Amino acid sequence: MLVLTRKRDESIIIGDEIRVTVVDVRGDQVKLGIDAPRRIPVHREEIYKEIQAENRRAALQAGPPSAALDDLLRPESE
Amino acid sequence: MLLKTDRFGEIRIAQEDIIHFPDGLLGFEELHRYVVVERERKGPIRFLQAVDDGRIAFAVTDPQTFRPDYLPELGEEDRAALQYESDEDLAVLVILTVPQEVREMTANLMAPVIINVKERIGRQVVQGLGEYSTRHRIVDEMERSRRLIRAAGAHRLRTVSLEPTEDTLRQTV
Repeated sequence: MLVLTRKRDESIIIGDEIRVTVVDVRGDQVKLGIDAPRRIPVHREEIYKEIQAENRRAALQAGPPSAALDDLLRPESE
Repeated sequence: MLLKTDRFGEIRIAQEDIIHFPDGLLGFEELHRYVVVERERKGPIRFLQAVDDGRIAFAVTDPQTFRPDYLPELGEEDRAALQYESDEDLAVLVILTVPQEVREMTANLMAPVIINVKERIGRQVVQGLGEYSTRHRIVDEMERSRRLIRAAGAHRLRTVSLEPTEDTLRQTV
């Protein structure tokens, strides 16, 4: 991994189109500003990991009878 | 073609029913083809069955069933991937996680599955910002939905539209 040292308000450029700027540093928190074309998705890593984990849980379920599941989604249930 | 699945046994699927997911689902990036399986006794829950791995199937449902005001947003990259012309070509499904205790079933509203029904292209779309999480408990959502409907009826408020509308998908500007 390439490691660069930056101060507040300094940036790094990735390719031609992406700029990451250190906006603020406080204690162990770093605030980053990201300028990237809208077609490039930018997400916090933990959100991606959370969705991956949830998908895996959803796919690996043992699968109880679907009728019981349907009933939970009917307006008149409960 | 015939497909061997863990959940449904052997099923026959038509080529034209296959939905292509160019980027797969998160965590299942290598699986690009799915079919929607309905059971004979039709209910709100359907299944997204992977064509190339019979073990993988997701329980899915239309989020309107329990969250009438759900509004997923599409980013520019999502719109490009889905290659659609009109919002009317899009269908929204959310993935359900079903634990042993069925009442604890949850829906993933942070990452809905959007399908271009016309071109049969699918994509899991990340809602990175905002109120949605990967685990909305269905029982709670149904209660919330009933409350909204009652409130709208009792006071004739028009705060939420309860009709499934075509602008279910609000696009980011």
